[in-house]
Amino acid sequence: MSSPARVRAVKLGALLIVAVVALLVPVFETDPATVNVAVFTAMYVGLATAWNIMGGYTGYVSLGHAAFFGFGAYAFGLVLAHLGIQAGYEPFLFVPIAGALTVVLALLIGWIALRTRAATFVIVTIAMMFMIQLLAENLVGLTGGGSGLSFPVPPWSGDFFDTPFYYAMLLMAAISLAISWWIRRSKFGLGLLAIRDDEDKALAVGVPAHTYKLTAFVISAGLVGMIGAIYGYYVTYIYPQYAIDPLVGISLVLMVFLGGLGTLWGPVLGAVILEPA
Amino acid sequence: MSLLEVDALSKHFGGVTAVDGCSLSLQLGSITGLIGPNGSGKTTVFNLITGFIARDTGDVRFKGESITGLGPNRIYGLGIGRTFQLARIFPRLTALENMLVPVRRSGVRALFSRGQWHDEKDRAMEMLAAMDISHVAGLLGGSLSYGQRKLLELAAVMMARPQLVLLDEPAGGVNPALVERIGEHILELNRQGVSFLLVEHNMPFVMGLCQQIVVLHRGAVLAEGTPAEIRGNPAVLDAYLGS
Repeated sequence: MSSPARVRAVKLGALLIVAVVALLVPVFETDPATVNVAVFTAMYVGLATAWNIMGGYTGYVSLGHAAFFGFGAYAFGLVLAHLGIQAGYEPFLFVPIAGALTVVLALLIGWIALRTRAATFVIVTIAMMFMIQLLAENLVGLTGGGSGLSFPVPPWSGDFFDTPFYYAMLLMAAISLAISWWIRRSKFGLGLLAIRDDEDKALAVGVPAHTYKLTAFVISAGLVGMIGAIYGYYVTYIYPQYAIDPLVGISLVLMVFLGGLGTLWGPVLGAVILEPA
Repeated sequence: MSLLEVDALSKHFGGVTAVDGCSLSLQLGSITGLIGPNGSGKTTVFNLITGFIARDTGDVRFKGESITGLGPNRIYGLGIGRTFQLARIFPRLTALENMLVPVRRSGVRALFSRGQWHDEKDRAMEMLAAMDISHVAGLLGGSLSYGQRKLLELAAVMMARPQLVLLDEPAGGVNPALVERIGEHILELNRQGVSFLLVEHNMPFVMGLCQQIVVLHRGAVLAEGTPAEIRGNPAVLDAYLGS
């Protein structure tokens, strides 16, 4: 076997082992407290990977992704309530709707925010997050305001309660990773990395920087919104300061920086180290 | 046939007039020099042509069509490439990846297609070889010497097969041997049909390379003509070359 083929085989083998171990966590570990940690670890793997598509590949550090996380949770809760979806497995089928609604929000916000660069962009994303939080607080008729929004409570026993959410979060982490991997090796991904290095130069060689950045922003936000939706259903009750929490946005940024900004596996590593800790 | 026409272009930054009614015309297949003292507006003219800054008045036409108001990436897509005064490459991408960024693939195809196609890679390697830097293909741009960066920048801008390339001081900051090589590369690309507009302070380089020279002074065209005509123009000698 040639050297590159051997390296690829080793990588695939390692990936398979990690996937099997991840899949078996709730089987071998039945303590709800431990599975709860696993749920949040898988959640942050997905969040950090999704954030990295924007922040890592383009170099645009958004500290406002908590807005998409919370918006996804609220959108999901409202969709479930308006459609009268009962608790159980069925709500998971509606998670993509929360993602789609988050994408619409991200298009609006990104279209404006991405006209700025560097520190200004960071500040605009923070401001945007607090605006969304304020809206969640003040649109009482829609969101319940400070009283919060309740989700249908799944009819599962305490021992089993975390398991479906663990697999849902794991699936979202896998989807985020697959999308991140695909983008990294695409022409689009190369354009994002060029923007990260020198945006004006990228423009000069034909990279449609605004479109690329907006696309990355929207993909990133959509994934975060879907994860937020699952989170809302998991905790069964959200209110503005809890769902749109600046600490969530800061945590996932820290994880990406710790593990390796702009790399595929860095966000995974950062989340696995920081979240259980 | 006129490839690029700049018509009465003006640009003010606050109270400073950077470009003042500049007009020039570039012929297809030509190498034209744009010279002038520091601060005469040469780079601003480049930035106006390539859409990096918006003009106050005037028009730029490429192949008869107005390109005024278009963004830099759209202008590059139409066939106008440019380099920068200080060689700008992507430092955290390899030299080969630097070559592949300018390859044009738009829309959904860009999102879903792989970043490195074999035919594009082959062409990139050919271009690097033509510039004598194929041995650095796998190195990060940031690790290259300044001369290698200059050559890489020129090679990369050619990847989308532009018809016109604006070179901002291609001989600036490089040793005399490399200046000669860069000149040879420009002539070779010109023989292949690429037109050039270049800003340069190295007068022997400009005079030896260009068929036509435009002299800018305080943002306006002071003179234009062949190198011999420019050399003998008293106004140019007074304003720029010195008597």
